[in-house]
Amino acid sequence: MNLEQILDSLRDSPAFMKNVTHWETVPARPARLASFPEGIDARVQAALRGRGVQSLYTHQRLAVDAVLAGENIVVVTPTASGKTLCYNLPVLNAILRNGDSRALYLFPTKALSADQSNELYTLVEAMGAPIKAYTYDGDTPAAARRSIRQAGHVVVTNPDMLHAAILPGHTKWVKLFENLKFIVIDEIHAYRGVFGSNLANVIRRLKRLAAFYGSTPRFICCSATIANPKELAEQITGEPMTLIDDNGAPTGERHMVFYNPPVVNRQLGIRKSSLLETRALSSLLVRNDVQTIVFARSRLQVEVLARYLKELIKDSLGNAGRVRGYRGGYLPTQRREIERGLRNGDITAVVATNALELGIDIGRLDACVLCGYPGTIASTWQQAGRAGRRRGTSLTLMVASSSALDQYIISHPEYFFKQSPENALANPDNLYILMNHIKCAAYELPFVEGEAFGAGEATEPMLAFLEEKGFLRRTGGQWHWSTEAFPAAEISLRSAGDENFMIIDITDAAHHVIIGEMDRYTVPMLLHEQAIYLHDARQYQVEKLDFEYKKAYIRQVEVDYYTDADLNTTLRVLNADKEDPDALPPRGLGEVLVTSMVTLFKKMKFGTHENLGFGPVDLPEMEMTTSACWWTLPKEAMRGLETDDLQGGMLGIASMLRQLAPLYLMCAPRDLSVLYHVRDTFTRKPTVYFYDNCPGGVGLAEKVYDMLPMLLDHAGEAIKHCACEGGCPSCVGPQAEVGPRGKLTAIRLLERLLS
Amino acid sequence: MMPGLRGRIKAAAQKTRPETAPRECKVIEARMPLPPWMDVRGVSTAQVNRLGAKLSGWDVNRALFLDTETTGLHGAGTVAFLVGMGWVEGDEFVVRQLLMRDYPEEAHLLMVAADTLARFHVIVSFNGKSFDVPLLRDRFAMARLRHRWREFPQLDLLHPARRTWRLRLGACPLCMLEEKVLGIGREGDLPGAEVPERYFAYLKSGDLSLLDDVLRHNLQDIHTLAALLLRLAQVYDAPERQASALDVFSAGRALERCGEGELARRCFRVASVSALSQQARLELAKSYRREREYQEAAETYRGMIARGEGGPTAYISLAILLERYLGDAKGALEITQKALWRYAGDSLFARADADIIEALERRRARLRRKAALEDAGTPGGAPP
Repeated sequence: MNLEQILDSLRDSPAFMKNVTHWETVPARPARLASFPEGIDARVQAALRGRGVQSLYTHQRLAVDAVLAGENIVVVTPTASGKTLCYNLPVLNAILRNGDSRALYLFPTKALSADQSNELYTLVEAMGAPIKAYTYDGDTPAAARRSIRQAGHVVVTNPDMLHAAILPGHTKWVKLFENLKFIVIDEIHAYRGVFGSNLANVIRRLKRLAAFYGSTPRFICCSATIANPKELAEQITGEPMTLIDDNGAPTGERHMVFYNPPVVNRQLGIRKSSLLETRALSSLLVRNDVQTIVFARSRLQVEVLARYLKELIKDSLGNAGRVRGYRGGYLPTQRREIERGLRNGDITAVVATNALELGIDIGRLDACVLCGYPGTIASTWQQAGRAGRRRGTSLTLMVASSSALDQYIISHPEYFFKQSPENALANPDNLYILMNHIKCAAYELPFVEGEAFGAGEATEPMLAFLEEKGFLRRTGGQWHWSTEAFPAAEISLRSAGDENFMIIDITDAAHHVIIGEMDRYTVPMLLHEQAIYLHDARQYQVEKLDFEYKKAYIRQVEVDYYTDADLNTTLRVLNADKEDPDALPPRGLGEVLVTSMVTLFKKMKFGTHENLGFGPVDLPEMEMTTSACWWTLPKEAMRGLETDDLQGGMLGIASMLRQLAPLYLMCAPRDLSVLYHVRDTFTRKPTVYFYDNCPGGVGLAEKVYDMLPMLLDHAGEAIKHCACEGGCPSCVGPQAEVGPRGKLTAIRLLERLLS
Repeated sequence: MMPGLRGRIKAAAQKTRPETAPRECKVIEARMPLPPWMDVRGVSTAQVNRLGAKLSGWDVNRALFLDTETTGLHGAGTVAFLVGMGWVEGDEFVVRQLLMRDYPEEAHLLMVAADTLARFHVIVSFNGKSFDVPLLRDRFAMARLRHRWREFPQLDLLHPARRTWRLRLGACPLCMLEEKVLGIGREGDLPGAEVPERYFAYLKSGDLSLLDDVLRHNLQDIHTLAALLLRLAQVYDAPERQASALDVFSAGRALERCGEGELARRCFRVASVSALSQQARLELAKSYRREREYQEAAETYRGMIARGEGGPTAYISLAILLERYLGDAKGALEITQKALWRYAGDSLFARADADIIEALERRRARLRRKAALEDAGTPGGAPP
């Protein structure tokens, strides 16, 4: 069967259709073409024609026209719609016009820059013009660096390299800075949160140096679909942007199907495993040789699904290789090989984590199966975008898990299709981040009195602060860097959450194997010493956790218990910037100190969940100052409620808010935390805190402050409409946590708050 | 309530500070009659080029001895706050030190430095090629004075000094060379690594006397540059007449490198009667070979083999020489055979690695075939 026939047979199958909550069909759209604009060098056109590009898509033409008119642009179109041409064309044209012109390309990761610069190299080669494009990153040999600095027309690099090598050593890059015409920022949607706030400041430093050397570069940014590409690009570049988002590339007919696995235990609200359902549905596609990508939520899921699909099509011809896994932790060469296999059709199915979500070129496939909701609308569209050829039908099938978020999305398809994708937020004026970059900027070039770094915060008080701390010296109308330290070396652009720990199996003393990685926030919970760690359905015990070198050493064991660590998070208000005691509910906004520490773990017996004892955990405390919004429960709302019920109700509300807030803030779930204090030391009342999950915050708490009544309203709706009897993981949490009357109390409290 | 970051910034910004800033850097000049150990007036172009420089016309009166003191190690945030420049004027040695008492004086300092530099043709330094000069170049760029900067031919004494003394002294920082080579002792010297900290301490306190140590340190460094140049020139005039065989051997290698084969071999011969016999003879043979004196090279290897030096390498090198350059395939076969007896035999102590033995065996087989052909008098089998 081909894909059309498979779709027909699914539509005719009542067993399948009874679990489908939504079937969206997007009709095919033809290409809209435009000619090359006047004034594009004939050599570029010839090289493109040689590569089969006879004319431009309308969005490419609009982009090139805008750049030629001197505008800064952000291009938002789906994967494989010819985005790179939007910058390669004007950049190469400018260099052909004036051989001194320089351009800087920024990609969020090394892998991406390698992928995208390949296309540039091929184009340059086809032109036969003396244009030099180089990748400048940590892998560039020292001998090559000098010639790149002198002669590279296009320097392809990443923000980290720009921050720690190019900007602080700008005197060695005079040629680049004096002639910098274009800065290309691809995958700009990847720069959200801490990373984006840092990049915005790196760009401020870059513009400051360019101005020193007398150049005013233009920006060309590209983004995947997010709600606010223009806003994000403007935040990051500090320049007004022209948005180019009218895609002229053709697409075939697309089907988007929402599938909710059937309920197997109504009382507990348990559904059939999304993993098993994904397995069955993707088998159908793979068996029929439909080129498919399956997105799984975890690395473990990737392995399990890939193994199953391999088994399915294994035959004596070695066909198992037509199914591959793809996730972080695979070696770069292996990844390149898989990407190539997907492009040329040697690989029928790939099971991947969101590592394949960013713009790595794998061509376009016929079908995409999502095992669980990816967490954000933007990610969902990104992943779905992997399926869909220019001609022919494509399918995206989302299989929901039983988590609250998945259930909300799968049962409110209209929300998903109506709602714009999430905002990507960066906060360049996060005081902590800003302060770090002012240090770097002062190191690179003394600040002149009256000079502003960014538009948000006043620069001079910060310079005075750094002077008092001994970093700067104010003299002769300038602030000079005045210590021996090298500030860029101490500042990482990526948040601590991006640093992964290696998990090393030492069962065989002669042969240590790295079996996985884990982010540093999860490590204290799951990989503390003596923890029982489950991996690939095997039990391991953690023997040693090397926090400094980010390694956990584990050994295989067979025991009849598992471990459960207690994470102790405390939050203390430092300043209240805004308070509104008369609002309903009363609320505040300010700076808080969040401390979290794992202090002990419990050993729990399998099956009976008996507590077999405790063990200590000796790990450093993690501290973070960030912004938070809080609301308190007024006395009158507590009237007539038992203390226990009250606690259960509030816990339930907090857990619903934890699930819902990211949806309405349009952020990723891990960007925001929710914490409930029975009797808070600052407000002296039952209090729910929302705080930004990164030092200094990116502005989510401020948004919560303004939209709180709306959030509570939606929380009440969702709890009321949940089909469970007295609480389930999809609404207020399991009864065991919120008590028998938790759900009811939560509904009553919310009604009182909103009346 | 602990004040948040915003509160602390506000507090800092409210304080105001008085501002005093002279714009001209401080210029300090010291002259002294040239002491014999610094008298570089007799140093010739040939002597300088033996140190690895490639200067066409060396004129001591056009040589500038340069050393800077800086606020750090690299990057745009590092400033050269003290530029020391020394030169020979008549029978005097002059040192001019330009001191930036505060940042606003830097532009003036750079201009005075540019004016001074303009009178010279070559910069003599210790590690100036990769540190002081690029740093100054960067400072000119940052001060928008790039048009005043000129590139110079350089004589960086770090490299010849390392080539000459590293075997004996290991890493060769200037202070160690002073002590072990020049016999100059410094008393109460400020270690170079503490210079930035001292400068920042001065900036904070405004107490100029804190910089006395730095100025003295820099002055001494510049004097040492002249002394070191003189000593290096002397060493290479009579490289074989140094007290340490290690130094003689090192000098030989340095000379070989800059094409002074004759002098180099003199060194190797001297060093070969010391504990360095084996290394020196290997270098000697290589030097002969490079000079196409194959007979001498072969003799040297024979000498080594007789002394039991050089291991299989000596045999192999000799066999190659005999076969390729001296037309003696039989001699080569004989030597290869000897090597195999010596190194592939039963003696556990003299057994060479398997791959060496294998290579020797292949060589022997080839040489045997060649010898057989020659004996048979087959046409085309004769040596060319």
